[in-house]
Amino acid sequence: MAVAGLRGWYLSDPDDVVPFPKAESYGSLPIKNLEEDLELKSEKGKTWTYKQSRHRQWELDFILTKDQLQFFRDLHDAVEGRGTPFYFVEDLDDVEGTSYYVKKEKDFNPSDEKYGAPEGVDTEYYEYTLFLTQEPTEDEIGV
Amino acid sequence: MAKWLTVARVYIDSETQNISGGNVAHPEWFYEGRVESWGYIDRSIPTPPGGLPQVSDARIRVIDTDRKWRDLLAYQTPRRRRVELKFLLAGDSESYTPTIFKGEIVDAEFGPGYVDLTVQDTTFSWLDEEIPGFINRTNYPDLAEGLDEAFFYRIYGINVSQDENPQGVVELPHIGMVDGLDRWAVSVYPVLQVHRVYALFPGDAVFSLVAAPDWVLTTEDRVFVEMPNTTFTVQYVDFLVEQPAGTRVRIDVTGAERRPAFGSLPELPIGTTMRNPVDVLIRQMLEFQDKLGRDIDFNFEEWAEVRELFETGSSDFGPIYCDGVLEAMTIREFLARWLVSFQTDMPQERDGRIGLKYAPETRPDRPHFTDRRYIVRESFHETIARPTVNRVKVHSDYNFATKEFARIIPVDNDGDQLALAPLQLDSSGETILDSNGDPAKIPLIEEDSLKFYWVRDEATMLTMAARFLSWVALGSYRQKFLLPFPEVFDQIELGDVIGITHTEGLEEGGYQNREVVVRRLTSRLDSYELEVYSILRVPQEILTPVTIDVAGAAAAGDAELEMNMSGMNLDVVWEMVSRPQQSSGGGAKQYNSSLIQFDPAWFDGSELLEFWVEVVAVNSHATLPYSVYIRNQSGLGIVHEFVIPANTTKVFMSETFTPIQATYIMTFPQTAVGHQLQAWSLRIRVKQRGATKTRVQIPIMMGGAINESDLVYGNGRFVIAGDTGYLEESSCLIFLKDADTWATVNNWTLETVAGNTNILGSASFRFAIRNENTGQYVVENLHTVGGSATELVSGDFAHNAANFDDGDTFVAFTRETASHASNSLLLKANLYVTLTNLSKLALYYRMLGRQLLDYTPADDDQVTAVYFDTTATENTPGTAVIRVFQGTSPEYGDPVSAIAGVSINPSGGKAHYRLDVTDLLPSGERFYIEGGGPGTGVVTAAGFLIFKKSL
Repeated sequence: MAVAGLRGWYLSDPDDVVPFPKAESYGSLPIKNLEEDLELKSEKGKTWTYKQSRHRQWELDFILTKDQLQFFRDLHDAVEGRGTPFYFVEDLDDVEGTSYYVKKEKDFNPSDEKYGAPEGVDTEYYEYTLFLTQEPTEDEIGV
Repeated sequence: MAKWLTVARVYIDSETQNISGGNVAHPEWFYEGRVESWGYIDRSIPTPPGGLPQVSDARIRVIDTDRKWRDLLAYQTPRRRRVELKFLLAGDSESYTPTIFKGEIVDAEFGPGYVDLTVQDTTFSWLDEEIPGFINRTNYPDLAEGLDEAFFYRIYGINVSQDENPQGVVELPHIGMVDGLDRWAVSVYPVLQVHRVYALFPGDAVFSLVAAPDWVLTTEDRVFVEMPNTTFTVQYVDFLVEQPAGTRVRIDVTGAERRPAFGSLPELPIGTTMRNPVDVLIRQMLEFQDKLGRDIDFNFEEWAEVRELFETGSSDFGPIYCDGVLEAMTIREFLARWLVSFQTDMPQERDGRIGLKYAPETRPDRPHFTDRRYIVRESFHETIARPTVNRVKVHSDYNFATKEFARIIPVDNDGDQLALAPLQLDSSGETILDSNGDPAKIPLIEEDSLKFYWVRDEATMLTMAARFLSWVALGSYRQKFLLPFPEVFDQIELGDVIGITHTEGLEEGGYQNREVVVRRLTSRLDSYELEVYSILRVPQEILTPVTIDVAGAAAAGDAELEMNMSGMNLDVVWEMVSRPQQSSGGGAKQYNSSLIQFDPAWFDGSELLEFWVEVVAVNSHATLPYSVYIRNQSGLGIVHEFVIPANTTKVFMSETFTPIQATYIMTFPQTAVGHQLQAWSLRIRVKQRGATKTRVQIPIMMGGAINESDLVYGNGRFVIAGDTGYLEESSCLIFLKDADTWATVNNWTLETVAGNTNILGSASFRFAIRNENTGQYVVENLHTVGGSATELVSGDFAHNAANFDDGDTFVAFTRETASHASNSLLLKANLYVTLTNLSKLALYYRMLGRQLLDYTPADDDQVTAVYFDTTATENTPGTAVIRVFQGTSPEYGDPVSAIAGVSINPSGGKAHYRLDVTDLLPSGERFYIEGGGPGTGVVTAAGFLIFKKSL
């Protein structure tokens, strides 16, 4: 069941969406656009630009308890690092409208265990950054 | 931004694989984004012409981290499986996109996470096959003793002995006894005539003539095992009695055969002597096609064009002679001999078709690629010719019987021999001079030989030798440069003449649309670059060194002596008529609508200043020529006369003239019957190169239907009872004054021709320009003549005149101040801008209906932007369009097919529209506009193409 205000993921069926255990920290970079272009420049400076691909990229910082960290480890195992693309849901209120076909970073590499009160109560916690890169969108040609 | 895609279909037996650089959805299949790199495709034709085209293998790297291709190919072979590549825009139709490469997989290499497919072009895979000889014991079980295999000729041309030595020129292979006849094979295709038969009997020294009753020409339909699906009509010389063993037979023969239809070329009927070598080539290619059992994809149009060139002799060589295929050889050998003989290329074109191109002629409509727009930065390289040849020993008139060339002639490039020779120095190091005071030179020879197997006449031989020498001359420079592949790949073909402009070209000041011939094209599909290898179409003239008198040379740094190369290059066009005019049968006519003031002092050009006049005219009189005159209005002295020949449907004429300072007017003589002489357009074209001053005309009248008399059918004519105040003038275009466009402006001028049919008295007809944005007045001309007279009135105003603001649009208003009803006549309205210390401006070219504009924006490095401005009126709202089209021909604006264009949509009322077409206009050189669409009362199809230019 979708939970408003959080992000989530699923492999292929939107009904199987799994919400992230918490929102990313304030200051994360929610969306970047990466443009891959080919550009040729004439002798006198006219440029010809040819679009190759466009990617969205998310760089989401989390401060996680051990159980919360396990959620992302499970995600990593399920998609084999960069091995399998999956759907990232930006807004669980609108699963189909905000889903992006993405791959996560290759390794699962959270920080070492830390101790403190990131949420007001002293506890062990981990810092983890989830990198998501959108797979190229599909082009279409006619018959 | 539209995205270019490269897609490939790989026809693996179990399932066709569709691959691309990214995922691409096709309505019927899916291209997987598996391709890591496409490599490159390299096509070339040899220089000089004569060898055969080369096409490289393509190498496609397919990502296979998931083992899909390994599993696919582990138990089936990819070899000889077809691959097709296409390059198209996302959204385009695949089936309408030509293939850019097709071939067969010849190798597959599996590396870490990928498979490399090597794909070999197969277009010419048949080149190394033997032309079948047919004479063997399979086809002829009773072949004569001592012979197991021989070549059955294909005889086409005239092969006749000289009268001084009648020995026969074609020696026939012996078949043996067939049905009581002793048989010799003549040709696979029926010949036109066997003139004479000769025999050399054992013990004889020379061939002797055999009388016709002793032999007969036998024709037989045959199918040979080598080509079981083709029936040949072969011919033999049959002796009525068996000849002594060892007898040799020769004939004099004229070959002939029907040549089947080929594309649009109709078949040549039986009984035609094939003397055009292209017909022979076609005949042979069709035979090869039959042997292959599949169609060869020819560019029929190109073949027909070259055939036509050879048919008419191309004006520089005479009748074409040719022989036949009279000895065993491969198709490659046959083509090499033919292509060398006629200095012709047979390229494989980008869509896979096989073209045919004769040594290229000049190409006025060539695509033009400049360093400003297309040639990629730091990619231009040029080399001098190497090796070079300045004497060629040409062998021609090959005798198949003796295997010797009957004629060997040296052909020299004398200029290159002298240019190549070093200066001769005396013992003190001074140049030795000849009796004329020029450096004494001993020509330096670099020699090669050429064998023209198919040439039999001297004119053709000399023409082809000269063609050859031009490819290997000292000034035959070679270029290599990169172009953006998506922009140009469909404009360039092997063997084509293109124009290049580059400041680093080996010519004073660099190349300016210099003609080069494309010899090699490398398509780099990963980087979107097209690498072009070319050669000058006409070699650079290499001068023989001369001795320089150093003491007399201009001092270095003498700046005053340098030519001013900093001016602007302009073609300024002034329209004289706004609408077509025609003659009267009731007397000679002057057309006040053509009045313009002209002063050659308004123009200059440090490199070129030429004054031209152009007319498009009709003379329907059956026998009498009539003239269109441009005269000085004062005294009617002739400034220029166009003589329009009798019975001329419509002609475009362009002539230089010597201008004077005057008011010009067009006049017609009286014609036998009215309307026999018509001028559809009349304009002055001032060609300025290196200009520092000019005067640009902006003709703001829209034109109209053909007109006989200015007084009867004045444009903008209206009847007003009393003064109703200013009304917007419907017949004028709206003008947009661009900011930052003009430097340096002397003044603007409003020039109008108008009057009235009635006597105006103290009243006047007024023509005003107003700022459309503010409604404020800028300038006004007053016309006071009446009584059916008209007059030219000219008024100057400043670039910064009140209300004449940059970026605003300006519209014409007229007013009739008479208190009584009167017919006003408005015949012409032009704006002019006069510029000195010229550094930037906009050239206005009026587009009136289908009146073609001659201009090639890609030619012009000073162009910074190109706009299409039009004033559109749509009486009934609807969807209407005005489009700019690229025209082709003819020159005077009759309907031509549209091949490119842009559109706008008027939305009711008269309004000004602008489109930036800087990157839309193709590099063709003619444009026109056309209005239309489902809306009613649609548009006025008139406007401007505006070329903004700056230094």
